Amino acid sequence: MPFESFPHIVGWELTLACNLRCRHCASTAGVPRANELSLDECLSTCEQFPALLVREVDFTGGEPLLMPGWDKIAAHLRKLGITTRLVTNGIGLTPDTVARMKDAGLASVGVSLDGMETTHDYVRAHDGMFQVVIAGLERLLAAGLHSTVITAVNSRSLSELPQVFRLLQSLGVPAWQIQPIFPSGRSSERPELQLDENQYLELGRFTAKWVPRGREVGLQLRAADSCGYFTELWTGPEWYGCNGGITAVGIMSDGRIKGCLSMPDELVDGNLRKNDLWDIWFRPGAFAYSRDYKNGRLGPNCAGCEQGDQCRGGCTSMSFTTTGRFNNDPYCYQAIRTRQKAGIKAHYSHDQFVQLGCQNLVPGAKENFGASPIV
Amino acid sequence: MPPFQVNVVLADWIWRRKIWLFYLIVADNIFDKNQINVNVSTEFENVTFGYAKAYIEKGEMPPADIAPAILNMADDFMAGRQVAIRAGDYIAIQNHMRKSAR
Repeated sequence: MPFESFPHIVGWELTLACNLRCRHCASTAGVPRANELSLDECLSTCEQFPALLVREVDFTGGEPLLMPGWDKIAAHLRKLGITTRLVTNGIGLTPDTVARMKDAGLASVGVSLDGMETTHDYVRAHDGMFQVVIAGLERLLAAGLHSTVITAVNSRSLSELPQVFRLLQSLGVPAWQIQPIFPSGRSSERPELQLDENQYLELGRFTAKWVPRGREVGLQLRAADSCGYFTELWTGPEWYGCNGGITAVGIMSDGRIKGCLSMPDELVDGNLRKNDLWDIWFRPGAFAYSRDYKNGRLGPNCAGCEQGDQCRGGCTSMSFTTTGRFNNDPYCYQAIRTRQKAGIKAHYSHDQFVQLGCQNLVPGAKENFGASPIV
Repeated sequence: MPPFQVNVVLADWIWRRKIWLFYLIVADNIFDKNQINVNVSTEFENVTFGYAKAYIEKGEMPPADIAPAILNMADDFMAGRQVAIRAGDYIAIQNHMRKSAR
């Protein structure tokens, strides 16, 4: 049966250029990719979205505000009736930029805040950034732009989350997304920042306790990106597996296409400079790691799990990055508890992952699940 | 004239996935039902309306690759209903248009 879903949400890396060199950056952002898409190419790409029933585009990077013309792309998407959001490191939220965001019709702006002042500035590898981000957030809120704070939780910031909650509440921030840091890119060189399994469970306990509190005070708290997926610690909608290549797609700044921008470059499924998005999306065999899941195809971390075939082994990116295979995400509340009870370790648990090094683990580890890039 | 609109009906296994995106930014309420109201292009309107009209008025069958979709649309036209098509039929029509344009 032909594939019958659409990329309703597009994550779009406008540039890999960044004005910071954050210690936890999974994209190793800083320098732009060679031959990034021009503004004209981006505008022309937007024209392909309506037929594909794209409903939302989220700009990211790098730092998307460094891409000249980001507001022109956003305004064009608005004309096409597509909701557009932007994720920023928050240091460029000048009055002028905030006004441009409003004029361009952004539906909301995501701002990274990775702990209280000392921790945030440590992660950013730059003193003073915390205060700059808070000032930027205040400008967004004063301008009436919906803002989401995004916190990539690390071993230093975990204990600070209640303080961050109170800070955001006092600022009047309406939404807060928290997620564990992702051990790839620059982050993989920082084992001391990664959450161990007990800390991961602690993160789950935090969200279970504070999501309802957030509801009471008007702060929508959401655990995301490899937080999950079952047990009483899970606070989101029921999880049915990775949406990369099923309802979501990622566009890299040089036109390459992935199911999700977090996925490693081995999982590129096409290039906008060679094919249009419709052909890439509907190519037989595309995004096979996600679309062609067969019951029982679970890795050792998930084998035997009652929810395994519904969950499909968690986050594809986390699974592949940390274990070298799909459907085997070791960061799962239920799996960690099961392993701890049985006294067994995860296959390529975090410790092993760090000892081996991401670079040594991933190349050549991809299984032949039918992914056949046409790059 | 207002744009021609169709409702595209999503497959159940897609619709039940309420987590549309799990990274970047909180993205909720993308859809509130399992149908997406779409302002289709003029080309889409011309192609589908042309085939449906030919079927209704002259009994001409549409091309085989889109016949089921067009016949369902013709039913909706005749009943004066909002046009609703399955995701698979929508894809077939778009593919047909893309093939014809080449």
